[in-house]
Amino acid sequence: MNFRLTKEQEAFREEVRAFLAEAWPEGKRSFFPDNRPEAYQEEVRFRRQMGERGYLSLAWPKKYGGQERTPMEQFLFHWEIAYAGAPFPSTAVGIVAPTLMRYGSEEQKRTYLPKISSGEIDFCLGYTEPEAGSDLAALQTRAVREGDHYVVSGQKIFTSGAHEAEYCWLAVRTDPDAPKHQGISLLIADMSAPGIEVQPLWTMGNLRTNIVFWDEVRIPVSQRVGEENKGWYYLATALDYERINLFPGPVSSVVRQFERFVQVCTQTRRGQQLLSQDPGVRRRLVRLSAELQALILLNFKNAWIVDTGKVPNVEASVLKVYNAEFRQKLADAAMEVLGPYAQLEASSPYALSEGLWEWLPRFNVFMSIGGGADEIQRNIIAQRGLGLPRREG
Amino acid sequence: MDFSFSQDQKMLRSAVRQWLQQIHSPEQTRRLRENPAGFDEKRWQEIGSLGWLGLNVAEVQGGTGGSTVDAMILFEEMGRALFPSPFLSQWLSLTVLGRFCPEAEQLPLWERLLSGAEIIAFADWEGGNLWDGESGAYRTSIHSRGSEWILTGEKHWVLDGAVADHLLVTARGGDGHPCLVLVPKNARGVEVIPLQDAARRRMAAIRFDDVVLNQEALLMTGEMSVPIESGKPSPWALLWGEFVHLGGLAVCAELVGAGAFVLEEAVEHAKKRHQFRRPIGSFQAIQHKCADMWIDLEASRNLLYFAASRWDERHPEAPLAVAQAKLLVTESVQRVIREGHQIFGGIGYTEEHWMPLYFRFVKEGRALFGMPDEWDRRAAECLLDGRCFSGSMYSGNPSLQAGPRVI
Repeated sequence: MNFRLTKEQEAFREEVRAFLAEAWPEGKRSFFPDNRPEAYQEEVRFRRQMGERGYLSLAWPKKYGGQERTPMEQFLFHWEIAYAGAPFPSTAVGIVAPTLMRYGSEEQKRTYLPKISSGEIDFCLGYTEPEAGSDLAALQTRAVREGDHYVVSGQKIFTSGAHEAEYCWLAVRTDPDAPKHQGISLLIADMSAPGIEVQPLWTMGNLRTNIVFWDEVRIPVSQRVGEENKGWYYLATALDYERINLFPGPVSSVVRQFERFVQVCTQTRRGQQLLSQDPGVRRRLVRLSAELQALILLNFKNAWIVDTGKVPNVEASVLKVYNAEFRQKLADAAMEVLGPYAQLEASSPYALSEGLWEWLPRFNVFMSIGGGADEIQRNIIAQRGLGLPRREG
Repeated sequence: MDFSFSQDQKMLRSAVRQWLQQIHSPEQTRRLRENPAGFDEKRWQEIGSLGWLGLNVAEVQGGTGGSTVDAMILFEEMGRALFPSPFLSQWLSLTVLGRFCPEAEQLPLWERLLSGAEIIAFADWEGGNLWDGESGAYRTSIHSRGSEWILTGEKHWVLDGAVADHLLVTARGGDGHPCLVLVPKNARGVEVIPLQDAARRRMAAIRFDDVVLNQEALLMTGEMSVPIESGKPSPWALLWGEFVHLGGLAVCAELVGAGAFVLEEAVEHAKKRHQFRRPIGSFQAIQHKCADMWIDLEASRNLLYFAASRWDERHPEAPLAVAQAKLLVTESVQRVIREGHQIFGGIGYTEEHWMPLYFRFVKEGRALFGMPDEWDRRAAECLLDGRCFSGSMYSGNPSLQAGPRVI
């Protein structure tokens, strides 16, 4: 049992912090999503800066231009990014690139990897459909082979970034007659191709996502990743990676939220007394701090497991559930402690913390739903972790 | 960063678990409840000979020089087996004396304590505010009469007090400084009142009615220690703090062990028990309960070892980590027990089953070495006021850096 970083890890962390202090300074560090086009331009600019520093290919093998940083170092990097509220092209770097490196053709690697690592291109994730959420393998977007193209038709939902990304990492059904897990393929779709319609979908968390209609979109077969009908296998591997690094990823953003909450309590009076001197508030903050410490430990444990070369299936699910529940508890506590004006939106007179506490509970609803709902995570813990039977058997 | 145990630690766990599996079962825990001593004397002597009592005593003092993390492994296993013995009290007293009492190994009693030939318990709480002990605000008092000491007062909720041969008693000296006094149970004027606590941990209330003690009985006083430097906790606070924090951690470890046993057994039960022509473990409600139990235990275990590790490092925020552990573990394992009861159903409600024993054990855990409210208050001082120890201020911005960072 050892909870300290090595000198090298500390040094790397300092390097990242220094980079962020310059490239994504305090003034940019909002808690909220910023949906303005100008914000996206800033994201692209920042992405390219990271690309120049090799920060988009930290984990990649040297032969692909990467730094071969250890999983713990990658985790420390992402911790600082998330703490600073900085954007990161997670789908491209975390899902697309690793899958291409393992299963992609040489041409695909040559075409896409350099542009991902330089920050030139970004990807959106085309998995979920109206009828395929938790049961993702039931996806129906159809890809029919016609010569050296697939003709793709269907509908995806919750395709975040589809209005901005140059490409889509698209899961399609290439064999409707096979059992559902055995008829899926992965395609790289150029978002400027004809037949793609992106409709905005606004969420209660102020995050914009999209519905994407695919109407006989022609995608070259050369843009299929790996073998036809083996897509679920590649996707499931990616889902595990996603579970570790993306959902929920580092919990540093909620550490920052908790720090802000404590700070507000030490600066706000209710009547004569500072909130942080109120016994009830103090008790809440202490209890939250204990759970947050437990959450941080779960987070680091997952990173450590990956760092030792193993796959944290069950531990990732434990983390996901704990993370979602803690975030919701923190948001609830802030609402209750900070009074009615915690219900004021950002633009309102008398809004608190620029509307942070009004927004946070709305945003956090998604934490227990996206990236694998908590109910699914509990099934995984029970079945994979504890060996409880899947069905009647 | 390393969440694994060393080979030595794994061997320790294995040795303790195997020994306990061979010699103990929940059935025996139940039978021992009716035994006045409340523990098996023969097994106690065996523990003494295994050297575990001196796990955290330095080698030069006759111990094995282990860490707090090592000790937590041992307590996890004892909690898992629900093994009744005065082990916690003895280990705690030996560890604290070994660390803070100058030349503890020279005490005539030392060898016999290390071997378990005589039992010792820590008698501190007087029924008021637990943290009064940190500043030595005791009503129990000791004053000198010639070459002797006279001890008067009352202590409550003394863990293993009903079976202890000796008591480590905290008291206020004539000059107002707090003292640590070694009192033989047989001394005239000592009245031990055994209590029937839910978990049968041999609790006692103890009265000291003008007990006459010789010079050597006074082991330590606040005055004897190094003068207080500004910014550092008082020596008495360190000594007393060691008792309370280590005791609290040991209880957390026992709870985690107990909870882990309940989860494992509940899962086995869920696989075998059929209702509606299928194993109840195939119902999602039961699966989700088991998942929640796992989550609670995982969070608890990590926080326990984090706090133990910080304590070993003498990290300035170690007391906060211990407080967080005490609060979170107590509450989380309580939930594990409750979910366990749901899975076992009616049969787990009967005294024939061992669930009620684990229930009582975990229930009482919240009342050992400080109630949740008391730990809440102490943790708040650490988290919000920058005071992790009485009279001390650690450096850094208290409200932000006292936050939960792993690193």
